[in-house]
Amino acid sequence: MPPVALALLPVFPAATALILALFGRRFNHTLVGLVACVGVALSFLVGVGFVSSVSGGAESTYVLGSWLSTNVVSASLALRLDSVAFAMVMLVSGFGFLITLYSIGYMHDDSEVARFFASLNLFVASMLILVLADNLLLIFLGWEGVGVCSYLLIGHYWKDQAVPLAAYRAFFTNRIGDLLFLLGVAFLFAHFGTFEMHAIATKAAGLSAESVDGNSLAAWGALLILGGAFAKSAQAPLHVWLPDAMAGPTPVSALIHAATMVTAGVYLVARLSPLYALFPQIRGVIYICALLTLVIGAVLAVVQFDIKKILAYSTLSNLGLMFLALAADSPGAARLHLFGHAAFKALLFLGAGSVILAAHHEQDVRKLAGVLKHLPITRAAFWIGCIGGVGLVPFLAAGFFSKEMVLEAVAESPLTLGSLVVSGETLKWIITAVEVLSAVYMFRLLGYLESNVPGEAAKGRHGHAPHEDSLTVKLVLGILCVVGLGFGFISAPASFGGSGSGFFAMINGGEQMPEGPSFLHALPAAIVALIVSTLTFRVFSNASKRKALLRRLANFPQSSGGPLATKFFFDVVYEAALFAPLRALGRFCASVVESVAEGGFELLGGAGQVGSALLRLVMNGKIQHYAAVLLAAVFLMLLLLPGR
Amino acid sequence: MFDFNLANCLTLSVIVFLVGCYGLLTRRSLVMILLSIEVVLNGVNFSLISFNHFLWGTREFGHYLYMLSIGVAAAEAAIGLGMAIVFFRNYRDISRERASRLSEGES
Repeated sequence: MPPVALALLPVFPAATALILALFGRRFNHTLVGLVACVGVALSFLVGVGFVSSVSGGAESTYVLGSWLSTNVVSASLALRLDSVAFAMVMLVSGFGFLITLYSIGYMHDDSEVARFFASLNLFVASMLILVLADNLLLIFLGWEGVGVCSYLLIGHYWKDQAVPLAAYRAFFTNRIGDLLFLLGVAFLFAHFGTFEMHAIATKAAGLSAESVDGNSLAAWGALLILGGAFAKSAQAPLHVWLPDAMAGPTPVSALIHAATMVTAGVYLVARLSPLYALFPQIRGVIYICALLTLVIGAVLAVVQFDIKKILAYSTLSNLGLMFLALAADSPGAARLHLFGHAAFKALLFLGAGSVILAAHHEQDVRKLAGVLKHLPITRAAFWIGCIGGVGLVPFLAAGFFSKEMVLEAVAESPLTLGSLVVSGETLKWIITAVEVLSAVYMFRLLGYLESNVPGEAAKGRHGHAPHEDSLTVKLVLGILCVVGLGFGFISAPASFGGSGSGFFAMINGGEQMPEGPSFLHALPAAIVALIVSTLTFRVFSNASKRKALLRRLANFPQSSGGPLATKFFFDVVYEAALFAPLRALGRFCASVVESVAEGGFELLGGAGQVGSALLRLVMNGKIQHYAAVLLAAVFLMLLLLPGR
Repeated sequence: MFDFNLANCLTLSVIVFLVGCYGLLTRRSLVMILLSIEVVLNGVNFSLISFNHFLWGTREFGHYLYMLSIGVAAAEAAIGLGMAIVFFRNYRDISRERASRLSEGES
């Protein structure tokens, strides 16, 4: 493929987005979906065309033109495809295609499919720009694009009262991140004199941690960019939007809020990892925030009853894990987990979508109990997804090796922040302990869905049991089951006799896969996870045992204001510290504007009335007054003529 | 005293012009007002002829202008009289007072 084809990658979905936005209302539902699929599929095929050049280690660069060019600042519209970007392109366009295809079935009854598919296509285009751009400014374009599409898609069911609020929340949280990101870009430019990411990474790699001032512009730039990445990738304290984002349609949750967009922050920080390697203090900040996110996500996922919220908090937890790998200066492990997580979480979300579709948009797991008995393909998807998510079994679980690799990386990299120093081994055991919770929430979910006593939504309506009837939903679930299973194999390191090094090298730009965990090393945690999973599943899949357990738990003093009910007080703190003052400020401004505007308009109106009264005196409708004025004017002009 | 020269001719033209203006401002009938407008125009036309005769006797541009102006005045008078007739048909009255109260509608 010639480099010019790089430009086609985002252009195809952008073009179909435009077509759908302009003419989509006139198409029928299936045609809208097909157009959207074609756009993403073309991108995917063009991407595949680059496989030979990328596998040879070559990089393709295509410069569309100059964007900014002054004496001080210059930036070009350049797309750059190396193997890291190639892997991301495959992820975005591949999953994008599958999920668009899935949406044809999922959104079949919706009345606004054209808008939905147009936004979805625009999202894919923006995300492709984000991963292809080398220039931080161009990345910002994609960064904003995916943010807008995320907002649009979260708000798809806008008629529901809570939905627009969720969309606003996602948007505003991301605005904070965007502001920090843009400031960070400016700081990095001031220090390095370039917007090109690989140039910054190369320059940073040439420095050593001892020689760099921890208070330099570069350090502040790195910290600010981290703020943007935290908002996009939902890390504490900017994570609050992600669980609410589940208000959008389920395919959107799968594509944007699990597999691709939320990993943009991870992708960005991983790209700039040589920069972060210079600043152990900043990596300490990442450690703290990511640990917090990991814990919050895992704990809250255990107490949720909404099937999508469980998955959303699990996503938070996994994103925390990716950032932990970044904090340990191991972008390779972060990327590996990014791909593994995309594989099993997309599978789980789409499975959840299939369940929700079959149960007529019921999302409460208590009511969905036992629903999987009627849905064979979804059942397979859930089992593969849950095993993958817990990382239960090597080879069969998508997350097993990537999680182990993150843990190995963390073990070798202590946390230092100010005077606080925590050794890597300690961190590793903390994370392992938290990860046991993933076994609890995943198999609690699975237990509910496989329960022996059906919930009210699982009994079906009008005598019909819930069933899978959409062809595309079943097809995509089948394909993703294979992907989810296959990922466990292709991520296996050599120490397990696997052949993951090739895949690892591809997603990491040729970097060698580390030795990998030895089997004995990973064994204790795996056994614990297996035991916990089995126990959880057995308790939750049995209705009477489940009720007994819940009754016993209900005896714990759990006031309504407790940490679990208030999502660890984040909402309360934000409400008190941010929203209440902002609302007060807004009300104050509104009252000022109101009074000023009111007074101003009164004044304008008064002036108009006075003016018209004056004009009325002249315009009295008497012809001869007009004639007199005319003649007077003529004589006046005669008098003013320059005389001799 | 009444020599045939430019100054006297122009004085005559100004007098005709002012007579027209006076009529324009004081007549009450719309027809008379129209007539006064013609008189004003003829005052101006007379100045054109005078200038042509005394300053540029060999050419006759002033006469052409005069004929043009007469043509325009004729068209204008036709329109004005037409309007006056319609006005009279509608209101049985062609006084300027009635015309000033057009906005008040019928009768």
